[in-house]
Amino acid sequence: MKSLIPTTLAGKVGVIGSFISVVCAVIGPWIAPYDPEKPTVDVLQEPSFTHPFGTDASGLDIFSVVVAAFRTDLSIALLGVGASFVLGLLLGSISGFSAAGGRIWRALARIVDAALDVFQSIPVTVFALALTAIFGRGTGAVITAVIFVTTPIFARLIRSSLHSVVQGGLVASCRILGLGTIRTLTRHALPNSVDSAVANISVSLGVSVLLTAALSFLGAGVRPPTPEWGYVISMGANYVATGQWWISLMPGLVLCLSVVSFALTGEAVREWLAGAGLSSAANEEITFSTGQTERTS
Amino acid sequence: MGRFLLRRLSLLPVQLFGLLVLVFFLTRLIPGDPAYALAGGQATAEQVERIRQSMGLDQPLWVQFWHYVSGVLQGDWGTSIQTNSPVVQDLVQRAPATLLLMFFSLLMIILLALMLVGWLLWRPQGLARKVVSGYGFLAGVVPDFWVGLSLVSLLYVQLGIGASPSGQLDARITVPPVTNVGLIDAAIAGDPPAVANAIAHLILPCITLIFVYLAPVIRIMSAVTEKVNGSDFARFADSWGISPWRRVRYILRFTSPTMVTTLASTTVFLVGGAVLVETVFSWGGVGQYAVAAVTRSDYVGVQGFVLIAGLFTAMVYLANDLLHAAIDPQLRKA
Repeated sequence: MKSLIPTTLAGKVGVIGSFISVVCAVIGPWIAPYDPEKPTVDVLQEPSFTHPFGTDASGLDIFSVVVAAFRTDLSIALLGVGASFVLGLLLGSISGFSAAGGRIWRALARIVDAALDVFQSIPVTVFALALTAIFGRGTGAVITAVIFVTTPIFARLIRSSLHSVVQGGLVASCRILGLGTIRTLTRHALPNSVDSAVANISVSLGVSVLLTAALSFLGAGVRPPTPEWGYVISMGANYVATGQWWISLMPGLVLCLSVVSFALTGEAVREWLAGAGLSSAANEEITFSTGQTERTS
Repeated sequence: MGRFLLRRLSLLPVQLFGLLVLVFFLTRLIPGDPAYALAGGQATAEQVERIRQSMGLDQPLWVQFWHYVSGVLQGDWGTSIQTNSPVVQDLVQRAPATLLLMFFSLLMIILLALMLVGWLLWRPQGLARKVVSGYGFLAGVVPDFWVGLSLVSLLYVQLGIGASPSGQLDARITVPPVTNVGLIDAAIAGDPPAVANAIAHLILPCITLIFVYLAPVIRIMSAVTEKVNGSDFARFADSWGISPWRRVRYILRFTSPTMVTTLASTTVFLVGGAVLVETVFSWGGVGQYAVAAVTRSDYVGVQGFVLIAGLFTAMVYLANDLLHAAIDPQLRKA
């Protein structure tokens, strides 16, 4: 078993940043120095020792809101990306493994492929915006938008690695051993194909946080007064041109740092999977050995 | 070539049909009675009934879809609730401003990408590599609206570069609206101070889009050129002792299909970026119109925007594939 500690500095920074983000999401509302939903008497104060990120026009302590917002943004991301991963696994399997299935399977696969193409033909922000318009602003609509936006990526990753596994002759060897299609898929093909999708989870968490913030910034996301980064940024937007920069820029900085951490963690996970022999290197080995089986049989 | 073109063009109707199905179902997914939602908050019972009949909500779904599609094809995209005018007219009025923003940003992205990649090819190690990999890392991790606000704070408030984030021209300047694009209208009116003002207003939103959307282009292009740099054909070219300038040209030529695809997807991303950046800078284009439509529950307006964005995307990807056929001889033979 390979060590779980990342070898590169970037990987270490990423994992530490992601860990801090998760800790803030769990205990954030309790460690916030002020109530993130109740204004203080200090209005439009610059960052200082009493208010590290300053205060907004109503007197809210920005630091407390930012710390409390970890929970909102990360729980949306976890729920949305979790659902997307499962959905992507299902859709990707239908599409990528169709060559081994029957006629109905292949017909389903064509529908899935067509749907994935149509979803790709609309810009992400535009589509998410339309969805929140339809379902009304709120956490549920944002999670739905996250699912719609991140599922196609998982489905495509699973599809392309399943394709190469199928072409590698794994299915033929499983057939010879007398295994059914579903068993071949779940026990042999999928375990060899999920690595890129697993590495993508952390990247998708970042995408989800950015999307949640963007929607809230546009007034189409989480309902106030729920603490959320994009909403705070939009509240401060009107004050930036007059010099009160901290209301918008501090929450954005924290948002960026947490997204960067997720991206770096994703990179570290990819490297770890490659090093642990769960990645394409392992795939090649299987391809090679099953190729042998095919020839000798 | 002919067969490739035929196959690609025959894909277009299928894509457009899928887009229409999606946009049609957007309004049919509204929880509750869509007629109430589409009529807006202050509608009377008769208005709601009229909308119900015009949408044919009492008829089978495929009849409704047929009505919608034939309306869209005849240029009837419905009436916006927020502006009370036809959606097509609203979009046509605002699209040039958005296109101007996207065009300038894309032009600069192409120029800067070529320069950075050329630099990387010229000096594969050293500073170029550090700059490119450091900057490419920013791809997809910075929110465009936050970058816009940071630039306003840093460049406009602190250094006095650019203009206030409030539209395409200062409020005190008025030019006769011909195209509804501040810069072009000022040029038509022959008013140099107004043109200068319009350019000042264009600087910050364009830098925002360039800074955010150049990063993924650089990331992909540097990965591709690095691969080509170590390839057999590059080593062969080296062994012939060709000039470094020629070498850069050969490799750029070889990577041009990837470059074209990357730029096509960047153009599509820019549509989403324009929505956010227009909101930050009160630009008054289709993106800002769409955001207003969402916050005011103007479903017809939202529908129109999704449709126009989808059409635009389909056209961009079509152009991408045709360009590929033009530059890639392997595709031409197929």
